[in-house]
Amino acid sequence: MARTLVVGLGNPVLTDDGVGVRVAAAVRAALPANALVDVAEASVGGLRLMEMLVGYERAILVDAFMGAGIAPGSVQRLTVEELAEMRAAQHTASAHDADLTTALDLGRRMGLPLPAEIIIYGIGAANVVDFGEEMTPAVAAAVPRAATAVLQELYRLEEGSMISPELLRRYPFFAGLSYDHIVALANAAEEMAVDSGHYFFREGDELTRFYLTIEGAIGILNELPDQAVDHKLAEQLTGQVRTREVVVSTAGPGDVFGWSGLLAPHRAASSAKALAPARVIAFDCPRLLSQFEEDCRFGYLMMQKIAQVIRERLRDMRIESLAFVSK
Amino acid sequence: MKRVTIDPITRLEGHGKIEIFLDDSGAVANAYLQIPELRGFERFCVGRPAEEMPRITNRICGVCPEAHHMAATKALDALFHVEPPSVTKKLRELFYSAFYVTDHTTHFYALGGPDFVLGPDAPPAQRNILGVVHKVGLEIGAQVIDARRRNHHVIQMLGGRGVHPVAGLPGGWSKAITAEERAEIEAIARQNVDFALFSLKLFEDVVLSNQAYVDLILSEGYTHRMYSMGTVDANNRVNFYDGMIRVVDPEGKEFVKYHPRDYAQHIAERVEPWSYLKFPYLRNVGWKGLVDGKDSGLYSATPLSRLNAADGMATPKAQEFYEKLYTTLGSRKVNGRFQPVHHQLATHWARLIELCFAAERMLELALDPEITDPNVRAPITEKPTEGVGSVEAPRGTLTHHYVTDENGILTKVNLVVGTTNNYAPIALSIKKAAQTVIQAGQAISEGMLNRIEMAFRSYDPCMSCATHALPGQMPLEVVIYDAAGQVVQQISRT
Repeated sequence: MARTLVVGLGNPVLTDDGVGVRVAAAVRAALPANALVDVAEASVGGLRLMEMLVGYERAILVDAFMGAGIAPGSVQRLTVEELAEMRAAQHTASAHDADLTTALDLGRRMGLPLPAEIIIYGIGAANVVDFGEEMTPAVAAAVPRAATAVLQELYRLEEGSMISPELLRRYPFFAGLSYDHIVALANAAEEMAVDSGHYFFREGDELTRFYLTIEGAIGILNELPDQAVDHKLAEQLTGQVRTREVVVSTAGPGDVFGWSGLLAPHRAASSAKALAPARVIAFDCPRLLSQFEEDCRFGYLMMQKIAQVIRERLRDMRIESLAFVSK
Repeated sequence: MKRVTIDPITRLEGHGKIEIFLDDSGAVANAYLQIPELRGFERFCVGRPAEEMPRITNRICGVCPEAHHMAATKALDALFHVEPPSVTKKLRELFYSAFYVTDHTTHFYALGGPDFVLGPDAPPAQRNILGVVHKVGLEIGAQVIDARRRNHHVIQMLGGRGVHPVAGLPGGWSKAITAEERAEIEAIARQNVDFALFSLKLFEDVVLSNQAYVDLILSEGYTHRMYSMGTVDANNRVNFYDGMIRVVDPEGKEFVKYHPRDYAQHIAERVEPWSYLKFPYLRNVGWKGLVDGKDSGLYSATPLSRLNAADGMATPKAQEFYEKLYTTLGSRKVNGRFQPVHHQLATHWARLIELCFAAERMLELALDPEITDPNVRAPITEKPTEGVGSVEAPRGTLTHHYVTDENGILTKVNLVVGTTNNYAPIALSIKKAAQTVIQAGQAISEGMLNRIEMAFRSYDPCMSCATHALPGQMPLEVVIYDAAGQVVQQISRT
C-alpha cells in the first residue's frame, strides 16, 4: 500500500483556483509506476481533507495561495504548522466545517492514523473568481516548477521506493543529459538488491529493462564452445556442441548493462549474473522509448551512450575471441 | 458615521465581509453582507453539450457537489422530456438522503453546535468541533467521524465517485445496486436513524434544558417574520429530492405553490446600489427593502423555512420531533397546521429534525423491494429544448435552468443556488442581531461579535457555491473607524 499521498486542491474550472489539481496531475504523470505514492484530487478542505489523509504516513498538499505579498506563480513550501499561522491557502479549510488544523487535531484525538508529516505547496494565484479552464500565464508557468518541487519532496520521502535524480546525476554515464532528462530517467527507475548468483536475464530472453550497477559486480556471460573439449569428437558422439558460459565482460559500479532492452528486437544478446551481492537500478525501457520518440534529443543522447556500451562489449568480445585464436 | 467591518478572512482580500455602520452616537445604523460572486459561469457553460452539466456543475462547489449534480440531472430529465423509471428516482433520493445525513451532521457538530455546547461567549479557539469533543466526550467525535465515513461510502457506491458524483444521466442513473449493496445500505441507514435520535437528544439536553439558551433562541434579536419556502410532496410534507415549491406567509397561510419550472414567475431579483449581490424576493409581494413582515417580499429557504412551509414530516420519528419543535417554541395550530416559527436560531433544531427525516427516508428506500430493479434508464426519444431542475440543497432551494439548441448544445444557463435565496434574510439577520448586541457608546467585545456571527451561521451559508471557499472557522476582524476614518478599536481573532 502507498505510504505517501499527494492531494491537489481546488477547482479546475475556476481559472487559477485549480492550479493544485493541475500540479498533482503533472506529478501523477511523472511518477514511476512502482512508487508507493497515491495522487488524489479534492475541492474542499477541513474534515473531508483530514479523512482523505487517514492511513498515510506522509502527505503533500498542493493548493492555490492568495494574499498580500504572494506573487502569482510563486511556489512556496510550508509545514502544516506554518500554514495554521498563515491562512493563505484557498482550500485547506472548509467554510462548512473546520480548518485543517482543527480537523487534524480532531482526527488524532479520535486515534485515526494520520500522517506524521504534512507538507503544503502553495502556488500564488491571480484569478480565482472567473470560470474558465485556462490559467493565467504566470500561474500556468508555475505548474512544471511546482511539480518538480513536489517530486523532489517525494524523492526525499520515498527514498527506497523512488530513485532521486540527484542519485543518477552522480554517475558519469548520465553526463551531458539535462536535468529534465535525468528526472525522466529517475521516474522510470527502480532499485533492486540481489544475491550473488542471481541472473538478471539470460541470453535470448525478452528484455524490457536496462540496468545501472550501484554496488557489486555483474558478469556479462555468453555461451561459447567449451575449449577443453574436442568438438568434432563430441559432436560425433553426442550430436551436440559442448558449450560453457564465459564471462566476457563485467559491469561494476557505474556501469550499464542490458542494452538490448532499448533496441529491437529486445532480446538479450548475453546473460547477466551477479558475481557478488549487488545493488542495481533498473530502468523501464518501453516507457523511456516512448519518451525518446517525443523528445528526440533525449533519445539521441541516450542512444549515443548505449552505443558506447555496445562498443565496449564488442571490444570485450574481441579480446575473448583471442583465446580461440591462440589455441 | 463609524464603520465596523467583520471580515471573515483576515488575510485574504476580496472575500466575504460583514460591514456594520454606526451612527454618530455609536448605535448600529446599518449592516451589510458583502460577498464577491464568481463570474462567468453561464459563459463557461454555453456552447457545451447539456449532458455535461451534472459533471460541470458539481465543480461549482466542493461542499455540496451532490446537490448540484442532482439539480443538473433533474434539469436534464426536463430538457430531454424523459421521465426516469421509478427505481431511478428512488436511487437518486437514496443517494441524496445519504448526502443530507453527512451534510447536516457536519454543520451541527462542527459549526452550529459549538455555540450552544460551549456557549456563545466561549473563547473562539474552543468554539469548534474539538471543543465539543472536549466537553461532551471523545465518543461524540467518533460518532461524527463514523457517520461521515459510512455515508460517504454510500455516496461513492451510488454516485460512482467519492467527491464529484457522476451517476446522473437524463432519464436515468448509471448503475443499479445489488442485493448485497442494498443490505449494506440498510444497515448504514439504521445506524443513521440511531445517530439522528442521539443528536436530537443531545440538542434537548444541551440546549432545550438550558433556559438561557431557550431565551436566546426566542429573543427578538434573532426573530424575523418572513415568508418561508420549501419543497413539499403531494401531501405537503418536506421532501428534499422532488415536489412542488410551497411558500407560506409569516402567519402560516399558503401564499403560493408552484412547479419549480415556474420559478421566474414567482422569484425576482433586486440589485441594491450598496452591493453587487442580487437579492431574490417574492415577485408578487414586492421589494420593500431589508425588512420583514407580510408586506415585504423577503423569504428564507433554510431547514426551518422548509419545516414552516410544510404541514409535517413524511417519516414517523421526524414528525414526532417536528411537533415537539412547534409546541416547545410556542406555535399554535391554526386551521390544522402549526404557525411558522420565526426564531432564526431554531434552524439548528430544524436541521437535526431534517437529519432524522433523511435517515428514516434512507431506511425506507433501502427496504423498498423495487430498489434493486436493474432497469435504471429510460430511453431518450425527444429533442432537447429547455429544462428546469430543482432540489432542496441543505442551504436552500437549488434551481438549475438550461436552454439548448436542437443538438443539445447549451444556449442559456441560469442557477439559483441555495445560499443566494437567503442573501436578504442573512443581511436582515445580521443587522438585527447587531442592533440588539451593539449598544451606543459601548466597546465591542469578542462575545458580542460572535452573537452577530451566530445569526449569519444559522443559515449555514456556503460561499464556495455562491462565491468561493473560505477558511472554516471564519476568523473575524472588526475594525471600528471614527468619522475621520481612523481606527479607534480593532478586535481580531484567528
